[in-house]
Amino acid sequence: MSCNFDSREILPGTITRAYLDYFNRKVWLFLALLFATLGVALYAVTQGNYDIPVSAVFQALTGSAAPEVGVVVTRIRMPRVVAAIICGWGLSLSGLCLQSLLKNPLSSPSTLGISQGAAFGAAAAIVLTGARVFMITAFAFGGAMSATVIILILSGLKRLSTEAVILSGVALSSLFVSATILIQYLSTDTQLAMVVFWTFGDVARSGWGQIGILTGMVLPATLYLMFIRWDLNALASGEETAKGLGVRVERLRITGMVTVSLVAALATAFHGVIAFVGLIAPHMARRLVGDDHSLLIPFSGVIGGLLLLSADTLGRLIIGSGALPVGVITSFLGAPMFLYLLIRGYK
Amino acid sequence: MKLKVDNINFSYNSHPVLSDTTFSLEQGQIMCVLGVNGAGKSTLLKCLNRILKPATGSVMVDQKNLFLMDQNGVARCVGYVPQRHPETRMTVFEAVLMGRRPHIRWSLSKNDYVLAEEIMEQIGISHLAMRPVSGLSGGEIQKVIIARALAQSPSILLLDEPTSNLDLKNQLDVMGLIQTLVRSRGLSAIIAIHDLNTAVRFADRFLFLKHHKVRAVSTRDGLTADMIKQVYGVDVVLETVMGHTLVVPI
Repeated sequence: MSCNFDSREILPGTITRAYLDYFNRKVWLFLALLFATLGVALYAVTQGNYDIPVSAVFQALTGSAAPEVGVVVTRIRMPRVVAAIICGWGLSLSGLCLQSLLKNPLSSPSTLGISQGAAFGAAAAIVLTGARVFMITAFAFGGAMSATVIILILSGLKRLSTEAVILSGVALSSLFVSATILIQYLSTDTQLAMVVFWTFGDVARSGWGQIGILTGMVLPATLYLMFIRWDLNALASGEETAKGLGVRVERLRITGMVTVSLVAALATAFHGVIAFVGLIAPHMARRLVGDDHSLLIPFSGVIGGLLLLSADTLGRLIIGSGALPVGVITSFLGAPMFLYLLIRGYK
Repeated sequence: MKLKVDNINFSYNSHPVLSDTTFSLEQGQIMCVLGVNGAGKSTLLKCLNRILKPATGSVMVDQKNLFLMDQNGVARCVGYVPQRHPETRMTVFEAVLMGRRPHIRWSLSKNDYVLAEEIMEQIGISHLAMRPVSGLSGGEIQKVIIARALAQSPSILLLDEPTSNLDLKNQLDVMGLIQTLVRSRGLSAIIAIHDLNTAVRFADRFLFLKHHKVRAVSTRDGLTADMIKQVYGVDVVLETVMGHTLVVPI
């Protein structure tokens, strides 16, 4: 109940109609991006060491294709394609939310040390536990979460400014990279090769089980972010404004960061370090829809998915057989973007 | 009695910033909070809507104690215009709609749109509705922020230095707008401000803060040069020119 609520019944006027038209145009654009993603996904499934026609793909999905085609489509190419979309969606969402919560356009899982924490965890697991897949995933997840906890403690308990949190993320990344190098130095040649291979982010690693687990995290995270979209909008207008609008800022920061860090940690644990998608995709979404999180959240997700899928498909087309890990491509895309953001002066 | 503030005490790291702050304000009135830099003007505003949490005190609005409400409840009663506004690429309409946040559960209702439109119409920013806020002038942005605060449907408006960074025309425009809104909507406004002449022109009451304490509370008629000297340490005379009181340092 408001203190001074004017409840006269008047129909929304021209501004609301113009705004809803604008909003609906963006919804159509979102649907177009979703269809583009499906289009690229279908193309990616047809391409590979031997081409599979579109009709055979649909036959494989319904179980009526030749057994070898069915295996290639449902066991090899489809998981890779779906993993790329879900992983890109999750990383992009994480980046967007970190950027909004820390009010810094350079925030992302890879710039805050979360990805490097995962890489360190994986390296430790390979050397210490004999490279069992479950242990690598668990250690990578632990490494990513430890980076998150340190960032949360610094931003929450020590009340560091958001700039200081980003800088501590940079320091943390450096620490994790150094620790990973130390582990590499102490490892055998085989272990070293495994550590290096793991560090290259690659979406070909997950099976349907991992995809299911990641989707089970990404989907609720998306819904939760949509639920707090007004709080994120308010926070984007300043901490005092947000508090003045009734947002419990400290609680929002902690719940938001824990949610998206879980997504980023899981995505990295399953697929290795995929840099820059979490940084670039939200900025692309901002270019398309402005700063309203009602649109930014779904747009960041779909652009992240499309970007990672396109990068992975490109990598497969260049080298073939999936030899070029997608992390390399995203880094090539991301580094110039990062510099562009710096040169533009954090705008 | 519309607003009654009683015995607010606030400290930063055990350093007192506000001590025993007590005052009241009627509906439809504007109170300007005056004092030198660091006197606690902005802190007082932030304590009133619980952006900062004072150690003691109460703020009663129509017999309801704001300090017993949660942050969202306070936001439904108190609109806040902060001193700084980060750049945003939201459209003006989106920025004003954001003021409805304390009342929104999942999505905006028809009523939210109607209220936002009505407020923009009254403030005279309807023509800017679909423009990004980042592309507006300082005066226009200030009006958008005031519109956002009004969209909270508050009975109290808090404004922190609303005319700093504005040229003379925009200062008069914005303060005139605040006065009109306060009168027409039956609000009470508390404005932290440095410019004494603007304050004297638009305020009904003055709260002078010095050394973290209320030094004087005055009506427009009760304002004296001595009060200003005590607070600012500057000799002034109050002159009346064409019906307007002016504070002239000597």
